[in-house]
Amino acid sequence: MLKQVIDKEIADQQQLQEQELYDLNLGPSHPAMHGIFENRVKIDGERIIECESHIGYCHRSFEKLSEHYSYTQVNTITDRMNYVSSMANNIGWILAAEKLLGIEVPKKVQYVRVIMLEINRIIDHLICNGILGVDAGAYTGFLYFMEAREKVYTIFDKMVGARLTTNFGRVGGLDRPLYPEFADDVLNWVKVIPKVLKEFHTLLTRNRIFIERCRDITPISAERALDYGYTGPNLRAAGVEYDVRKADPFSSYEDFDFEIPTGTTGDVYDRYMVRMEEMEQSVKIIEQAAKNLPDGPHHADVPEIYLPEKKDVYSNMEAMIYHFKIIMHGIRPPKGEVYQAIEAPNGELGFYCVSDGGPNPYRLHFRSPCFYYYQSIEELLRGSLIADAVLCISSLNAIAGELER
Amino acid sequence: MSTDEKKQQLLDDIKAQFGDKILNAGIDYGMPVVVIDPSIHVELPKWLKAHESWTFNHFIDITAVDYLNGEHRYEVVVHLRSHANNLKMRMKTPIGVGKDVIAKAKADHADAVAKAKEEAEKEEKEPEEIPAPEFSEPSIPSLTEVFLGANWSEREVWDFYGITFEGHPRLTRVLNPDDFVGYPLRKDFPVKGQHRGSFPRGTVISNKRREPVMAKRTKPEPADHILPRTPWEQEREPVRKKEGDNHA
Repeated sequence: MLKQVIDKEIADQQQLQEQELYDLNLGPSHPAMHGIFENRVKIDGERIIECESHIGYCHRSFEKLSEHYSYTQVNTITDRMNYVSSMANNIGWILAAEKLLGIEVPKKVQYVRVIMLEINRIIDHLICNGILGVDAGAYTGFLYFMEAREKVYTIFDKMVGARLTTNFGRVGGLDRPLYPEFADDVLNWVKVIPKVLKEFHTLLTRNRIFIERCRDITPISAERALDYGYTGPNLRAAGVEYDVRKADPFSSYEDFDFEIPTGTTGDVYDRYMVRMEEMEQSVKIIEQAAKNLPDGPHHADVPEIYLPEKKDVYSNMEAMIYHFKIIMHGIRPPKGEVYQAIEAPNGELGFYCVSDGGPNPYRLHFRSPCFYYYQSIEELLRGSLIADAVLCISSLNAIAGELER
Repeated sequence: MSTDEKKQQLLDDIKAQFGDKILNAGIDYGMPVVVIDPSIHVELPKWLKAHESWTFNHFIDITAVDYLNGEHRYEVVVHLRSHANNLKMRMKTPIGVGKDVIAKAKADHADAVAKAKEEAEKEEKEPEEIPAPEFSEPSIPSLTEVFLGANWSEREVWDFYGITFEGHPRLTRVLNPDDFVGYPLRKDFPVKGQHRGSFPRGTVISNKRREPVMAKRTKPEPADHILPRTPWEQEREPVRKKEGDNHA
């Protein structure tokens, strides 16, 4: 009898609660969303009871397009994936194509790629952590590093002639010879970064309001993170020491001395701290690479793949033949399939490429790290506050261009 | 144990456990690759994840490839990683039936029906009925019970290839609009589609599912009519397909 009464009481209570629940659309265009993510949340007061996320507002069918593009043209698509650090995508794709073709590029090219990848890691993490501050209510930090970011774009400009959509590098080397003062420019730029980071640390890291906003917000355990397919800083924040640069070194990362920072709980604060620490490690790598930049050609000796210089095309018979063959027939790798992963700023960026021996990839799949973070959001947000949801999404660093390809 | 030995050991262990269900195994560009029978599509990852020394517990990726023709049309490709051994592997499952095989079966059936009809007319009796060959849409068991990350990956593969994952909790479109027609990454889908889907999407949580707003099928004037045509283009076929052509 008593049990029935209690059950009825509970059922009444639940029904009452059910009526008080409120549906809210967090996105697709919402001032607190960076990009166009739609999250339908069911809220009880400020607390999220259930969340359902929809993506696809920024889908541009890169995988279908790349089946109809040549190996050189695909490079231009990859810039548009993670537009905050576009060179990282370029490098990943070029490494995949080179693995398929079996090209070994000179040490100089590998070092330049390492430098550019690390520069991109720094500017990507600066944006991510800066926006995290904005979402937590500290707008100032976002403005502090903008100067450093602006300065690096002048290096990009001198290097490839573009600032955002860089189209950096070609299959078989760099797209053009390095400009003479490259190493000095990089070293001058990288000198400023520790100062910027120190400012950043004093603003946020020990800031009590920031810590209270970020600690124990949307944590994830190491097992679940691995199960979800987490990689990069977000996995390391959960305490798993996995970095493609150490686990499966590419582009001669084994030459450099650096450490992998890890967190313990995988909450927002750990992700922030891992990113801050990674930037310091990147500075170390850039200094090592720029100081020991070897001399040599800016591309591998593969005349049937790498375009000859324009002046040779008009004066040298062989160069003209190769130029004609590359332009008309394209780069034709042998039949086969390859999976190449790099440690992009956001995590493991993988390229699964199937070649049928033709001039364009038969199938190209981009394994974008965001896609796997973002599917866990339905679980992470359950039970948290709306204000924390915004922090969670920005600390995962979901970028619409990469998430939806 | 060196890395190469480890990879070979892994392949040997898998072969010893599953025997003739492993159709092919080898090392391709430094990555262990196994081609498996669809019947162990879930068992193999489950076994690898629970194995005490291999522990393939890091989910990397699921995707598919469309080969259009041949005995099996699609290949579902799964990438897994063992964190303890720092090893990645690829698992490929061929499914579906190639387009040329289906066409041949249909042609054979039409021939058989015509022959039966001819014979029946000669003998002046009802022709016997020959059952048409049936080919179901490709399907494969879902990996969601083994890896949480398989959820959206499988939705993506279904979205782009139309491969059904049995036992998936919510197999809906993830990148394309809900009312999209066709599976865009199939090789017989054109690069320039005609259909444009509509947003916003329906929701499952609140029962107030919005009816999908049907986009107006505007058919713009083909540019061929607007642009002045050069004499040598006169005989050219119109680039765009005519109205009413359904590409899906």
